[in-house]
Amino acid sequence: MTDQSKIRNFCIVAHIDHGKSTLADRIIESTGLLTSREMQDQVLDNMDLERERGITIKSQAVRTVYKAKDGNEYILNLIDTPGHVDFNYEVSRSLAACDGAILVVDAAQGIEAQTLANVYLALDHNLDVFPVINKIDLPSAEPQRVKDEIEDVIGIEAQDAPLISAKNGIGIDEVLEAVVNKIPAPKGDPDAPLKALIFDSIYDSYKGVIVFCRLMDGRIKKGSQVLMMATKATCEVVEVGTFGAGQFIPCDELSAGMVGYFTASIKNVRDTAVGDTVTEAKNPCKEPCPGYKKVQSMVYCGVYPADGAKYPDLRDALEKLQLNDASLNYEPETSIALGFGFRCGFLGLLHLEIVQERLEREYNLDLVTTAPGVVYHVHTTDGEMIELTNPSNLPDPSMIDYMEEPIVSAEIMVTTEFIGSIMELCQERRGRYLGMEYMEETRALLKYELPLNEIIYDFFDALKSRSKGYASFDYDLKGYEKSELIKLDILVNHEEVDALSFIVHKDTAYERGRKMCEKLKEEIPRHLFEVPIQAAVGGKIIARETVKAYRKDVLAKCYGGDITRKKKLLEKQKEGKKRMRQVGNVEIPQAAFMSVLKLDDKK
Amino acid sequence: MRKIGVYIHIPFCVKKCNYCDFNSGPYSVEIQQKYVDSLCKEMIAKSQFFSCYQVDTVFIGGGTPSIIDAQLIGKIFDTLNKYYRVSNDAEISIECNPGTCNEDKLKQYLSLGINRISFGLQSTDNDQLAVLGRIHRYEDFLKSYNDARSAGFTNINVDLMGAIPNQNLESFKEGLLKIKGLGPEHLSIYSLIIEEGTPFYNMNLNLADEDEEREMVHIIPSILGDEYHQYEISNYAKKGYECKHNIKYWKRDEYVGFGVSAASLLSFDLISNNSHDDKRKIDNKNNKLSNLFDKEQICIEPSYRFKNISSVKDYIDYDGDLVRLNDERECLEQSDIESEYIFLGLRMNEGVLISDYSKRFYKNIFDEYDNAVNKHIENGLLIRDGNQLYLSERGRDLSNYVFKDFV
Repeated sequence: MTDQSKIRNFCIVAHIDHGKSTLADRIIESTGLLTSREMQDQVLDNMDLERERGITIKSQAVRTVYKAKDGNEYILNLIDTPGHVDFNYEVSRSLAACDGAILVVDAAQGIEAQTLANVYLALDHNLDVFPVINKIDLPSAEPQRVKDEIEDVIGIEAQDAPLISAKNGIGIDEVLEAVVNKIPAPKGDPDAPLKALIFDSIYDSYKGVIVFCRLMDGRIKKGSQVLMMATKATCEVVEVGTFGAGQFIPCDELSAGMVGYFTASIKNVRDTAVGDTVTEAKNPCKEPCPGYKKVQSMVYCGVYPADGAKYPDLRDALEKLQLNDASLNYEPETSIALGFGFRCGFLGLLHLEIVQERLEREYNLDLVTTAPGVVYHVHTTDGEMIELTNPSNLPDPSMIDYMEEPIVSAEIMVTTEFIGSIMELCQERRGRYLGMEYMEETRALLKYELPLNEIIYDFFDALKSRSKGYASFDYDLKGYEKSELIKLDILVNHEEVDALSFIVHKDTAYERGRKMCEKLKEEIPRHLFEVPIQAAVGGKIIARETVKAYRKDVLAKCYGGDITRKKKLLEKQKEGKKRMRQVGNVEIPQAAFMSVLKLDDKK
Repeated sequence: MRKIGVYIHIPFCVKKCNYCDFNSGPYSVEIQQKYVDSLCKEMIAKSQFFSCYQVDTVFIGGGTPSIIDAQLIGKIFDTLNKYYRVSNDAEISIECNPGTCNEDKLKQYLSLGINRISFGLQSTDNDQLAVLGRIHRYEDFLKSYNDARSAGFTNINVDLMGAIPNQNLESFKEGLLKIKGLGPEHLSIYSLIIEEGTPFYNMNLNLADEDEEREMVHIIPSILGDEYHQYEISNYAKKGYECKHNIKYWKRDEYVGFGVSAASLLSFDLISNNSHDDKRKIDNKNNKLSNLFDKEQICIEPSYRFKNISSVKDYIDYDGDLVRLNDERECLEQSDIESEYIFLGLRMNEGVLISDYSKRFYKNIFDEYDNAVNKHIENGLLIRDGNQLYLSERGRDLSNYVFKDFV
């Protein structure tokens, strides 16, 4: 049995691009788990998508052994957490599996919105947090300023923070010593009934679900009969083990304080929900680990195969993806414009993009997605509450008593020169100003309450473009509030296109309708006849644009040398036509169904 | 005997026009001479494939072929006549720009066997000619035109342009009437297209909008009257004077191109190399066209399109290796051939003969294109008249829209 005093369970928290994954790489490398020949960048981000985007989507863990200056060997369990607000709940569960956290702050950029959000999350979980200042070799590095900032803003001791460059391997030993000395050892009772926190799980086609867990108390080994306390699933453990870098290393037993995995021929990740507690079936622990929540989708959109015949392929792909992603929801739906597809629920827009990209890439599907929307609460006159995920299902207005929409509390960190334009943006997005704090002379933290439906679209892009990239942003779901919402319908050639309908606030309906028509006018190609595009609210037209009829599409010269080029041109036109959906007698390009996402024209 | 059209590209001109995106430009006389040398070498090297062909059309295009010395044109014809069987009644055209040919030169052309002159006039309005960057005035054209007539040419084409900057419907009509008055046997009328990479592309021009441009195109037949008929999207002729060489492009007949960027369409079996004539068989292995393809690529029903390299500098360095002269090659599949047959054929006013299609491809055009044909007939873009399938006037306006359903 491993001596708990020689175990350190920790994670790294940071704002995006401050060097979290690079530091993880260096820790793995310098503890000798991988030779530098085996190393590749972002070892823990093993999905192609994660590497490309430089983000972490799935939680990962790795176990390394470090020989400290005190002469002892320590087991370091590093749990890598996703870094995006969409995955806040996953992050919180990963944090709950740790005893301490390294806070990485960029020596040039200092504290950013996500730094704050993540560090508060870590402190909320009673983790001991110590800072390291990364990228000290940058010419623009100001370690002392950043140290002061950490002390002023977060209120944690920072003067002796290791000054490192994860990229160039400077100061990594100092970080490892700090992990040993500053992060507390776990204090579980190995003889108490099993109590383990699930912080992630993945599906493996040979072993079934592989459950990542942190043992709080007790032990787990092959043959243990275990119970998931929230989902009530029971099973017999087939294998337990620890995490190598990118591989699973089986062992005989995991005991209190350890981080590892087990398999039990579980067929679906739904049975092993993140945040759930694993215990012995016959001798359960008294209380589960605190903080379990059923994950809820925040954003919904319609996902349709571009080629209607691929519907079964899409269904299979979603089924398979869901095996690995318990936060993905889907149910079949039908659209007049798009045919058979699915209404899918996601944690947020990034999650949506990731799923969409994985479907297209890993399952080779060509998709049409409709504009994402949030979940509205529709209270009907007969006292019922409907959770509305598809605008087309909005009941008749006469049936609606009132509607509610989700509100988030948002924190935006911005340099002072852009405060004006960012406040203007929040105002346009129906934000409620809560207050502002100055971080230092040149930077401020703006606090707003914003409707979620105003930020899921292009808020982040708008924020970036209006602050020349300097603003950072984080948010938390606050709850639902009553709001004057209406459904905006789009008519193309006098026919309503259900997949283009969306819900907006009454006050922005006219503006949105007008912009939507303008956008669609750009997207919809010319036809042999004139195509009117109209926006309507409750049957009343509020905006109109017209796509003029086709007058001319002819290549005047076509001689010997032109034929190959001409044929390619025609093939391209034909390809373009394939990516169209026929609605009535109008062809609408697939991209148009996402146009609502790009209505912010102020740059 | 099989027939073939010969295209010869002369990439030289006095100065590039503001709208021109062809492979052409001003070059020194020395380069021009070297170029013609390479041209002759290429003609000789390729002659082995055409020993059982009769050349029934020749087209010397450019650039401005008329700017090079008539003796160089003579050299080209010497080689052509020596290594190819040019039929006595072949249509032999040369493109001339007004102001670059005098009566003397034109007479020399006639003596070489050239029997058709194509004048690049573009506009009768001197202001418009200046905007286009043409080197000539309308008066220069009139002189050249009359010179050609007095030299004895009885088959003359005039190129005109619509939608020129500052041109309106009235000035377009006026120009067309003037030219009709001269009575050329053939007229090619194109609308200006602003191509990327030309000076026009970055200029702020006063251009006709789409509606005005189409008005110009639609008014042409009523101005030309019964003397002329339209036989292709941009081509009009007096009866019997349709350009036989260009028709080969639209009917997918065989043609071979010499010179930079010149294209060829060949329908013989490359492996057997068509070298029935052993005396002319060349040992050089590089000079087999089949070397351009992997063995697997060779077509069952042979139809190949080739295109020469575009660099004049590389072309004049030509050392006799045909492979190096080749830039693009395409081994056309059955479906390519069928779709090209339709979309090229439909460019012509007579369109596609349903029975010809069956005869050529052993299948009915409706087997595959039933939907496309019916859709466009319904839209009023295609017309079926018994055995004939052709574009309506609106169909010609929107020909790409129709054609894309046949590729």
